[in-house]
Amino acid sequence: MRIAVCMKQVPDISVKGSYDKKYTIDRNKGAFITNPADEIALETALFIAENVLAEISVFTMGSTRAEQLLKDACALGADKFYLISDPLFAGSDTYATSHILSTALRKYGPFDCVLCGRRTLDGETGQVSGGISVMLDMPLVTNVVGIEAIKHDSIICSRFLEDRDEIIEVPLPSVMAVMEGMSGITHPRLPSILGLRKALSVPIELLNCKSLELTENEVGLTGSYTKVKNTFFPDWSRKCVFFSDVYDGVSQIIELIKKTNDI
Amino acid sequence: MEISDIVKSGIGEIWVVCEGISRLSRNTLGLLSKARDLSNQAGKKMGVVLFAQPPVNSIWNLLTKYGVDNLYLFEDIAFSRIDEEIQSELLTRLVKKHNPEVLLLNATTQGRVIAARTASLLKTGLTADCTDLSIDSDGFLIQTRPAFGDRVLANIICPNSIPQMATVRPGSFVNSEIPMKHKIKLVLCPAEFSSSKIKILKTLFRGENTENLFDAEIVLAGGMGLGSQEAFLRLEKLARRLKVPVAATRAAVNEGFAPYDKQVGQSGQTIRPYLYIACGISGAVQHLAGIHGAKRIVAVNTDRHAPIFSHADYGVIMDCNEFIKRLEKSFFNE
Repeated sequence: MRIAVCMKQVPDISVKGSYDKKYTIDRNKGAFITNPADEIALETALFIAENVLAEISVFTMGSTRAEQLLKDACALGADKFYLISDPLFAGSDTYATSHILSTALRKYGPFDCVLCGRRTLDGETGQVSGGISVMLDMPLVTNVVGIEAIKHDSIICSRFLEDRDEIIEVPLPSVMAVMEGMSGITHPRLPSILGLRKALSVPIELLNCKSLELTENEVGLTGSYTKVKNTFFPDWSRKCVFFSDVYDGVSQIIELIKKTNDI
Repeated sequence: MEISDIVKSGIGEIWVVCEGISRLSRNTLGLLSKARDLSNQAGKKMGVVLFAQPPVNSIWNLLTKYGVDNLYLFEDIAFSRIDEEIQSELLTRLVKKHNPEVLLLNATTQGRVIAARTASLLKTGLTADCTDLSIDSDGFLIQTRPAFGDRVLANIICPNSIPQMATVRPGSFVNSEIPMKHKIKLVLCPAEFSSSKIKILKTLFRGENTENLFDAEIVLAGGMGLGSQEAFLRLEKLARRLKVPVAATRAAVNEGFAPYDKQVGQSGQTIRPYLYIACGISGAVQHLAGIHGAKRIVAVNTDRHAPIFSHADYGVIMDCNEFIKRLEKSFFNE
């Protein structure tokens, strides 16, 4: 089975202090991390490769700094590595990004299974897997939280929806967007010593606008349908009354709860 | 004709794709209310796309209360469940025939997939998870969503293609019916599609409905300040005894303290309770985006300088776990 995993390096927004324990910030890398859902997508690929014969290709689009992501993926056991990087790609919206990624996936495919994280921490759109699935003409299943069985022409997986869980059979080839923060697929594994050593000299294929045979009009801001018109600061501020005495504060809040419950 | 001329002309319609099997989801009703306001403001007709299994009488009756002009109805017993691929293909075909100017969907898991696939098939722009929508003086749809990592919101437009597509975060708009019933024109659409490629082998409905967060008068919410999953469970237990729902921040969900369906804020849900009690929540903009519509916000946090306090009506500087204990004691004498 040929598996592609689309991954992205994202700024570590993890609100100062709170996540430091978990996603250790390497200041040398400029506080960039692999998008958590994409880590789970890679973990899913590695899990599949443990059960059936599979080759894992990792694609990442971003600046050359994203090489680190590919090295990390190599240390964990992925096989092939593609860095899609070009200043012309800057400002791409989800349509242009899907177009660029699916062009690369077509060039180095065909793949039986394309795995993505279901959304990135920075953009939070979750739209790229949808774009890729249309452009590669494959079915799409999002919010995948577990792999139940791998057959030669399908994968049985579990999916998390707002009000229900589903067990579904997805034909191959397909695009699957994997959900983070769930218990179905375990947390990303740790690299082996051998993997870490291998990662030091990993061959990375560099892809740019020219090598993907894309024109400038198809990528970046000009290749995007959506434009940011302006940004602004929302004013949601309120005047906070502090209860200087904690006892008084708690009892006032209790009164507020009781009063509200009566309405 | 240029896109800018089309949006000025008012020939195109503003469409909402309904969600719901036998009844419309609450999110859909809020979205319909907003779409009607936009249509009135822009002087355009409002269209609604409905995938439903017959009969649709009760949904029809409900739609008359939202000022819908045209109902595009796909009727088939297969629509007893949502298949994203089938719906996006039918929707694409319908859009190509009628050229609506705006196409709005709910940013639910399945709504997002339908929107993303449809936008790619139509080759048009799509903005994810909007928290507000408006029409600018040129007739373009302004799609507002929190921008990443900053305390800012971004206004996004789609100036060179139609339809202008957006998914809308659940709970963003208030449900409001019109006083007089509005006459709806029915457009029956051919529900021709090949069978679903994805097979559902088993469905397990979770007992608790996340929609109850929307209806709640009081919401007890927990953030990183709780410090552990046990603390969240304790908060949840207290909430259950007070008969109010519990919510969590994304950080708390990511840390595994709370399950995803309790998440409020960006990529979670938007709520407007009468009283929101934030326990150990610092107040990231993503979270504030989900709660700023609350009537009263109470914040309990050890950090006097946490941003939540500039967005709260009442503040208590104390450890939230201690606060929870006090509440237990006061209500249940423990």
